[in-house]
Amino acid sequence: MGEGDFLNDDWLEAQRNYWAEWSARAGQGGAGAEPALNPWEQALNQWWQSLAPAAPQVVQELLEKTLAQGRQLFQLAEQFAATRQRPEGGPDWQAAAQQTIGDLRGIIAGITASMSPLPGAVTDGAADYLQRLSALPGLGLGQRSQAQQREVIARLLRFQKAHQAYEQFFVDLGKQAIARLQDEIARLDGQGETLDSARALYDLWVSVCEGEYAEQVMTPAYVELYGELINSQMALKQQLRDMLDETFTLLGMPTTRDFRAQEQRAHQDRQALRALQAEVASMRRVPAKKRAGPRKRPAAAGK
Amino acid sequence: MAPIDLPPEKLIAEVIEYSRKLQAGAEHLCTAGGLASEAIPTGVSPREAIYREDKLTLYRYLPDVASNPVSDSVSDPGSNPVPLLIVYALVNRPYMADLQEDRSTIKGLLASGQPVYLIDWGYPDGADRFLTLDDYINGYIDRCVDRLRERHQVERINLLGICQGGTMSLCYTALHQPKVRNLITMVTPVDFQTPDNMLSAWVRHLDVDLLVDVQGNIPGDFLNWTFLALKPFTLAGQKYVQLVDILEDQAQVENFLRMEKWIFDSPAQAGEAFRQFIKQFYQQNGLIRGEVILGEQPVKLNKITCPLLNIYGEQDHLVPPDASRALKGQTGSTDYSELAFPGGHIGIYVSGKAQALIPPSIGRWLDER
Repeated sequence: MGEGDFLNDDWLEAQRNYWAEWSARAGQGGAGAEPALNPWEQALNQWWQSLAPAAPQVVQELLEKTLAQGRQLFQLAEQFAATRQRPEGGPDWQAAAQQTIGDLRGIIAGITASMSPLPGAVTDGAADYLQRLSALPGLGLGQRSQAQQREVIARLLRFQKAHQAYEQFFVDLGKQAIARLQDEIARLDGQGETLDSARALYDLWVSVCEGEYAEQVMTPAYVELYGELINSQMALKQQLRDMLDETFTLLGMPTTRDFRAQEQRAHQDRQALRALQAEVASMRRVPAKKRAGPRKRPAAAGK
Repeated sequence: MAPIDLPPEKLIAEVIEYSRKLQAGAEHLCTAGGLASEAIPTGVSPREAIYREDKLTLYRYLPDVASNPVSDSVSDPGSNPVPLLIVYALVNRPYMADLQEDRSTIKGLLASGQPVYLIDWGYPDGADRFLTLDDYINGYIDRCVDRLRERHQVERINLLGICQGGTMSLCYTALHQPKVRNLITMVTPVDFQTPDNMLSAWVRHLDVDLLVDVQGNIPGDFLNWTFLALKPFTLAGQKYVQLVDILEDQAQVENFLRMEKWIFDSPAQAGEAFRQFIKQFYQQNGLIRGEVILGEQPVKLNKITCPLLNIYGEQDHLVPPDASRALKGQTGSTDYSELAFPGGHIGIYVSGKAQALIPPSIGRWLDER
């Protein structure tokens, strides 16, 4: 092994100690004792921090995803194994499983985040405050502005509600997937089969989650939830954009509406140009045909 | 929890093995070089651009660069005299059909003696915001077809539509049948509302007018994440664990990176075309109902009378088999065939068995017609 290896003797020793300690504690039913951070993760994190800056961007992204999945794989196995050794009051394997569902929420969040103008914190908190603010009456010169702000807040609250309902869907999905995993394990037990590696357990968990997810996301409830998530986000963006456009108009700056009008004009011009080009091409073909002269009629076939 | 047998020593061994592979692979990757995203090739077969218009490029693929360097000859002796035009989807990039040396649908088609052309739609931007499906189908595709008819001095060409490009090819053929000799559709949705179509379910409550009015063009990232969300645990999780198994193999890692680049390389969608596609095809299921209108023309599948080969993936999670098989009996063609591929939406281009089955079958089918 090279000098920079994290898989050196010290690491191996630390790994053995960690698992020995973990095994002993689990066997004694040492409730309440928090296990130390796994040296696998510690060493890996250190190693990666030293390697990552020199790695090409594409390799960095790839390996970060691989590391994250590796952590899930072994955390899940660790919790399951501990539960087996210490069935009463043992570590919460269900929490570890839920964690993987939590990571899924991150993937789904990417869908809305790819078009979101707002940081997550804005939509996650301050619901009560925003609700109270939106209820304030608008009077006098600032009435229009206040009405617009109230509309933004109302739309923000709608988006926030949709977002929370969406989050809740994944919490519920996690619970359903865990129940399904338990059923699957019972089925394997009935068949006398054994899961004897962290990888086999992880693969089973992925398969179970995918199966549950595929069923749930086809339900009318989810379809409505998904639609509302996107629609409420767009409604919010629309109001924000309209307000910004008003401000830009006051400042004499181009607005979204101006840009759209330009884009539409450019498109119409492009279509007109294509039509003209087609006409010119057909006019060019006609003289060529005329030059070639009329085609001779085929002689009538004799009887 | 009885059937789980994970004693600490086993876990240690597994952790060590996983870590070893990861370390060896990572250091190998970092030192191998040439893996910057821009260095990952996007298509491997030699080609030449024969026509450009706006963002579109029409490519001709060169049969065998070793024995026949770039030449002006239109057809090679012995090849099919009728050009084959591949119409790819607007979503994703067409290099999926030419991903790597040993996994290329295009190479296979060339080897079967077809003169292969492909429309690359490029990356739409703000200037393309108002492009409609009419512009794409009756405009761009039609002009590419005319170029090829002129170039090859033929009245009719062969058309191969892939995924959404297949749907567009069906529309094109229905509206311009005299210019199409044979039509092949690959993993093409026709019935957009089969019960197992996730994408169709998800857009049912989507206010697509609001989405496009607000967003303009639809960002590529939105599509990337949507496709990953079809199978999130597998596509965004498990595959990175599986990557560890191949990290030490440079060739396999490069294949993985090519695929990874393709997955996240979705162009933005021109707003108006996206609006029409979602509303008319997904939400109204207009293609199979004969209710799609392009420009001012209704698209009727029964106007298609040419021979038709419909290829679908039996495990396609994006375009379910029933969505493709629905084409049977809908057209006016008396020469309709189906080819079922035992794989998924991506495997149909890149799997080893696809290379052996799909391009040669297409080549034979075309040569017979």
